[in-house]
Amino acid sequence: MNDFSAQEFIQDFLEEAAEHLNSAGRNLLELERSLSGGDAPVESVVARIGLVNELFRSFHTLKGLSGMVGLAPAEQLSHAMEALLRAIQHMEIEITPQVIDRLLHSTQVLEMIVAALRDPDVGAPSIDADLAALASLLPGRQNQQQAGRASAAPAQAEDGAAPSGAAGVEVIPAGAGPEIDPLAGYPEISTHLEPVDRQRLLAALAAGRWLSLAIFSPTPDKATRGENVNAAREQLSAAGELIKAVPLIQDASIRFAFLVAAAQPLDPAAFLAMEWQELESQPAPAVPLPEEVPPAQFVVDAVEEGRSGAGPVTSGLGTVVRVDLERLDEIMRLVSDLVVTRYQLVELLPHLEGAPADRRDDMAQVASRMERHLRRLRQAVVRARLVPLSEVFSHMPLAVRDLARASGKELRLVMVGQETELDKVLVERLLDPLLHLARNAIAHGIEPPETRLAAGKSRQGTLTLRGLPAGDQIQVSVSDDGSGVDFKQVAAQAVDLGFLDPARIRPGAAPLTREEALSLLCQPGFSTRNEADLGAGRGVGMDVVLKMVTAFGGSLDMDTQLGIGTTFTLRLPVTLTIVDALIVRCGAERYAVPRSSVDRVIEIDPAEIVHTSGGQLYPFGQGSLSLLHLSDAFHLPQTKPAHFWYGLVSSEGERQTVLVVHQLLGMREVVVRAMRDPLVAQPGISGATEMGDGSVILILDLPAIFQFLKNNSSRG
Amino acid sequence: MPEPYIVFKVAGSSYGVRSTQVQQVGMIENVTFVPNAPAFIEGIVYLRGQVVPVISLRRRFGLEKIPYDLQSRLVVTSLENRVVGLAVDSAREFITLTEAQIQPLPENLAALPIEYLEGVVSLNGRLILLIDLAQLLKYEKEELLAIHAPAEPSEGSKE
Repeated sequence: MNDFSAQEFIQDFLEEAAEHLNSAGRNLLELERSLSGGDAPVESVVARIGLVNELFRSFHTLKGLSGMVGLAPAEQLSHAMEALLRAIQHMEIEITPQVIDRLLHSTQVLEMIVAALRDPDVGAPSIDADLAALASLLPGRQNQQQAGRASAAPAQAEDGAAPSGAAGVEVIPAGAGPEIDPLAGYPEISTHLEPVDRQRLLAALAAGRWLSLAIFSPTPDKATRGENVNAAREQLSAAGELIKAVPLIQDASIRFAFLVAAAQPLDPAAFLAMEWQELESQPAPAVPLPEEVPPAQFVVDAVEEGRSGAGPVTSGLGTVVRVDLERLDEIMRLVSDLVVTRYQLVELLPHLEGAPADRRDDMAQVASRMERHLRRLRQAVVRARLVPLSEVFSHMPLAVRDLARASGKELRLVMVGQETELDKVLVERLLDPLLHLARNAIAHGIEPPETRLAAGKSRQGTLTLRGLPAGDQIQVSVSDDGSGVDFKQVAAQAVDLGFLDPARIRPGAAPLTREEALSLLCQPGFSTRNEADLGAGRGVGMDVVLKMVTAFGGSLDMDTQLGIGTTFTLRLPVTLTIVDALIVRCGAERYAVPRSSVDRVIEIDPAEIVHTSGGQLYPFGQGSLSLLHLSDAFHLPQTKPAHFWYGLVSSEGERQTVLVVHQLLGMREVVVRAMRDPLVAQPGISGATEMGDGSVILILDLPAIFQFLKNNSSRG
Repeated sequence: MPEPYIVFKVAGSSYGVRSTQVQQVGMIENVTFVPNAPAFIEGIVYLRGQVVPVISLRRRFGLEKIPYDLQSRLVVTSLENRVVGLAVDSAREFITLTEAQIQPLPENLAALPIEYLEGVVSLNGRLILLIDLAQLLKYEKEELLAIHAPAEPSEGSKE
């Protein structure tokens, strides 16, 4: 294999591996969330099976891929993870937070190994610790991960309790204390026991009976002799009490384990050929309860349209083609060249004076058609570069989780507007700034749980990532409901560091303006805390954020309130923005409202509206909502409704105010076209979109409309 | 140097605009109403990947608006990054003019929108008024702000 194709091979591997690791990370977090949530049992079990299967496939594939590029550590680690997941699939081990933790950790190690392959300067971590940890979780090993159950001590010399001459009998000696589970070494059996089975088990033990485990492995040979599982079952039932029969599936073969209690030890010779295990038959006072599992400190609330939150995430390799950005750039250049060539043609047209008029008309038409085609081609290429924000948001839960754990804070991550699309280049460059902002928010914004409680806040802080289209820009914001930025502190620190002349500080409550504070925070080297504090000070990394935003011709904003929280908003210009939008009708006009700006839609019965001097109120739940009419903002006639209207509740700001529209027409993906010309541009309208049938509708900026109507609320 | 012009008609008068400033000429269709816009704005159309505001020249010239018919045309002009469409009664001619042919505006052109003109041409006994596009597309910031201003409840809020 020559160098060139080896390089391409590795490139392919890097991309595929990244995809699989990404989706595996997401699935693991989903799995973790399903353990801590209050899901209905049936759905969560089904969902969990799906997630586990998906994870198994991911690591199985990663094992194969790693083998192909000769990346042995990745291959070995993937193999170990695959084995653990298989054990979970076969219900040989339980899914516990510790198991998920271990899998998450190993996923990250794999990511680092892949990163090291991409960038030789980065060292690859050792996999030994992970291999050992994963191995220890496998069934049949010591140190069972089932929290709270006493681990079975290594098998020691028996003390005569077992029948002699029985092949393959393993006696489990009396454990250290009173809490012994006879099935401690057999989690695969244990998990199959229903409460009623456990009762019988305990009753049998209390009555001083012998417990045995007989495992029957069916084979074609045995079948011809009439030795089948039913025969085994009959024999055992006759000899004692058959407490439970459990099918064990391993490597595409099936075995049957029978849990039997009898008055005296059973002689294996009296039965069909089976594996026998004597179980600890000392009276066990009680089956110990599993240890209290601490509630997950971290919950991800990915607010996404269409995802129930309980399904696996596939790598989506089926309908997607990965294209090198460079190739797209080249296509773009070719299209631009074509555009220039077409202009050259157009320039020549007037010089064809000698040709008949209709010929010239024809040529003009062809030139015009070419321009249409070229424009569409250009748009198609631009569109090909678009990816949803979820591509960068999806990295956040894992990072935020780690940051939260390390800082000892309790945190809830909410992500909104992930379907908003933007240019791939932008998406790739967004991750770093977002991580910086998240790190700052967690390290310095969100307070420790006790502090929050003392301040009357909830224990859990909330970190919100939001993507919102804004004309031909996209707005990405990182908000926390933490302690806010203290401008006095910022000013003091700035003076200390020599960034600020003390004379410039304003006396009183606002020593700095928002812009001044933000500008100081973005100075390289600025920090309001010691580095001894985990991670970054509020300032560290802010210069990175500002640099990225400026490089793309965008802007950075900060909104903060002491004690309430902080929001950093990045505004980035993009060529095209595509969002999901609700299509509504107001009067005779249709409008599009970005899905991410709407929290909820409620039905409004006009008969129930209460008209007061202060405006219109609508009884809802325990209280009432105030109504604002879109028709007022746009001076449209208020039509008489058929039965009811619809109220849109904004996802920003207060939820007590509702915007009334006349009809909901549906939801669809819209391409946001900017409306920049001053003759038509206005707050409240963030762009326009074509509906595909030639018509164009306006896209509303909901927060701005609310603002406008509130300010004008003396009418109405 | 002869320059090509596109000639269109509004309320019986002929107007010329430099070809180089015209992106395309087409039918007037799918105009979407834009609220809170100046009275001479018909709305927007979507052309070649762009949102284009449409100015009714009749309104702009202070004339009465009439319904569009098969002759009506949208003259899409482009000037310094702005693309704006002009709704006119008809647009059929394509002429070439030299500098020498262009004459300054006469003083007594009553009832004509002189603020938007930069010259006249007499061609075969016909007077063609040449459009100053920059003036035509100009907007008064104060005018627009008054329409959009959120602060005071405006008496002119209902159209």
